[in-house]
Amino acid sequence: MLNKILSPFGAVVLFVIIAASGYFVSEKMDKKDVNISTAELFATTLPDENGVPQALSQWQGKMIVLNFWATWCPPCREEMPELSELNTEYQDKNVIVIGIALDEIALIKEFNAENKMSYPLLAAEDTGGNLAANLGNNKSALPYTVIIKPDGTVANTYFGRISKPLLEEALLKLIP
Amino acid sequence: MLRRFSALVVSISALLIAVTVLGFAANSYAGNSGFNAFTDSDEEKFLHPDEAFKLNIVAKDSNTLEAKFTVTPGYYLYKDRIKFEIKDASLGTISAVNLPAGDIKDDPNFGQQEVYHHDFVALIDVNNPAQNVVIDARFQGCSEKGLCYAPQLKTLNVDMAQAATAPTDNTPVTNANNSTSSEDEATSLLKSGKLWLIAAGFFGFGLLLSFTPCVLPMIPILSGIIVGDKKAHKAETSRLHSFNLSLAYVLGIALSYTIAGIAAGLSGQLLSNALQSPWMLTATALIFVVLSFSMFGFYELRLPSTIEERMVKTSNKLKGGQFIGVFVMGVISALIVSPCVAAPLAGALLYISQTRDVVLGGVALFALSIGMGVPLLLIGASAGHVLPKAGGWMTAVRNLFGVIMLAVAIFIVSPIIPTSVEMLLWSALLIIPAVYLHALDSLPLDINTGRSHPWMRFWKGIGIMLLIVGIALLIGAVSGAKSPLQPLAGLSLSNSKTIENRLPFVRVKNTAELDARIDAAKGKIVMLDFYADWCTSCKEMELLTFSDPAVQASLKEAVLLEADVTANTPEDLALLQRFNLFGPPGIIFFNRTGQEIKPIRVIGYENAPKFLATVNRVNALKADECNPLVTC
Repeated sequence: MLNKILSPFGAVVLFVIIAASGYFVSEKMDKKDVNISTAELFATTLPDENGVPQALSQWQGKMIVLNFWATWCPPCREEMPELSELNTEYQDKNVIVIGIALDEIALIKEFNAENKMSYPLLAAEDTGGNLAANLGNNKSALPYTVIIKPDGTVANTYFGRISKPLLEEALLKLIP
Repeated sequence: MLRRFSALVVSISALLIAVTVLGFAANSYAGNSGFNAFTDSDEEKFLHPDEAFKLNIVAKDSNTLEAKFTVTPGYYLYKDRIKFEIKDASLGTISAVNLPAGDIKDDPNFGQQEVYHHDFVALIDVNNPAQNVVIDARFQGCSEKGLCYAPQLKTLNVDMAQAATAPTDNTPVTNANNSTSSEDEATSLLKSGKLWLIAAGFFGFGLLLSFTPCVLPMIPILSGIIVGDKKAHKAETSRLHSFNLSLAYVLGIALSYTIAGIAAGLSGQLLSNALQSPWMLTATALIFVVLSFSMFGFYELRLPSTIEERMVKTSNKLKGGQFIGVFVMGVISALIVSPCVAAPLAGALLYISQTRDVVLGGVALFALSIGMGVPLLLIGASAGHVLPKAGGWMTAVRNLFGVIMLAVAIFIVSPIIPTSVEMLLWSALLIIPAVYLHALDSLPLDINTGRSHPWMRFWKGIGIMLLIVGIALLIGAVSGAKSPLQPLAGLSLSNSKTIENRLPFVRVKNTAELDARIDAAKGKIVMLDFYADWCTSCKEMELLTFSDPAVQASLKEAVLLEADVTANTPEDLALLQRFNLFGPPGIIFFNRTGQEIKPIRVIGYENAPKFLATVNRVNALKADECNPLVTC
């Protein structure tokens, strides 16, 4: 009787069910719930390339493309001209790009003297990692880009090298 | 609806495979093998820095520390950013750090940089080291896919007394900067809970194995021991005692398997990159197929009978009743029985060698053997009164293993075979078991009731589901569907006529040929596509993006070159190196004066609209422009 019930390949299905549930459990454990919040960001004041303190709250209410970078990060440097271009093209649509560097002020100044970005570059050598982590960067990876909507909620996050078309695609969906 | 359902079932079968090889960890290792066909979200593409780079420091001799760096393929560390420091001078001072020569990487911003793409060892000379040296290690690296990690700080505790004896005895020290806290391999796996998941998975796998007839030869051996023990004591021994005896026996078996697991982990570490080559993937899949045939009973895997007899004799000579003797007997009987479980065992070992993790290998195989030993422990606990009955269901479990192993084989080769062949294989694997589940014939009737058994009806229902999905896949295979997850996509009208039009690529074999082609194409945009047969995203690009009429139109004026680097010849490598590419996929554009447009590179899969936007940007550039803002 027993062998009839468990006909040869019937057990396959059973195993599939066990396997699938196991997988979903492990999947769930993998995705630790990260509380993404911009509260800390807007409460922060960071020096710009000239050392002048800039409160991030001044840009609250805009569509912010927040880009974490560093001068020692080749893919960051590679994508920044595109961000600069994006900032120029979209500034009249209430969009602003902000770069936060995990770097010294002097190095940022040197970089900007050479490359002339159209958007503000702020220095957060020690606190930048934490700021990025609060915005979902659980891998301390750079570049890391976050799109923050005017209401202060995070719309998109990107690990690694991004491109202007990619951001444009996301922005066009968000801009009314 | 049907499509979505079939997608679900196919993905479940994919999961089945992932879990079969107890690949709860398959995700975490997906980045470095061909196994990531089904996990493709952007975030998953990048490893956590702790997984991308691992560091272990041990004492080599009384004055030298050995820092072993493990670098995941596709990632690299900068040589000049590796620093070691002993903060507390009373623990010793670093006199010299010897780093091996690295690979030269041309960086547009920093010039030539020495980097490490592979595992390497740094030697650190320490003056007057204390018994325990607390050392800070700093390093910084990137992924070739365009992402860098913040500088990492690891604080490790090295026991100088353990020079060259204990290889992995680093006690991690809690670190102020907790985002980059120190962990050695095992603890990070433990922390993530994955090691336990894997161990639990292997335990379940072992438990399943114990329902195969393989365990049967062990039962007389074990009950012999327990009965012999009873006779020796001339009295009823306690259940606890006989349980302990069977535990000793099972632990003996576990020892054999654990050694096998560690060996597999080590061999994988040695073979490293070779395991990911198309040849290796094919060979591995073939082994799985051969092993599955033994599960279906086409042939019997066993040791030569002379060796087996000798081992049985030796084990009989050992006196029962004594724990050490029983333990040794366990070690030996694992060897006797192994050929029977060899197929699934070899599967598990292959999986471990792919992960290249020694600790994981040992733990996993230990869990597996304990799982296998559960029925033996039950026999012990019942003092030999309860014995499992063999039956047809044992063969069913064996056949199940056969199917699973075939699924693994398909999964392994899926990146290197055409999608239609892959779908054909999946459909066969679904339809044939469905036939066995009586999906096509009427159910046999029970003599007593004149009706079929409810359970058989249930299995038939499942069988019919498998059959339908199998047929959907079969239709997909012959109608040119592009993905096993959407087997019927080719039938819908909207995108039915796309496969025929291929882009007219011209092959380039080496850098000289490339230069000549670019030279000849002055005045036109040039697109160079790196391709390889085993590159899944290249194939996706070809099938889904390049076939798009709008994309084709946008590339009409361009010269299209393709470098097929499947063979990985020195010429291929030189081509990749020229563009600092680690491997395909990669699409490079050149402007009308033949200069590379560096900021516009396509690495990885882009869908048609996205790729079209990229091409339009290239087309919009002025003749000698390489970048909208920076001159070349």
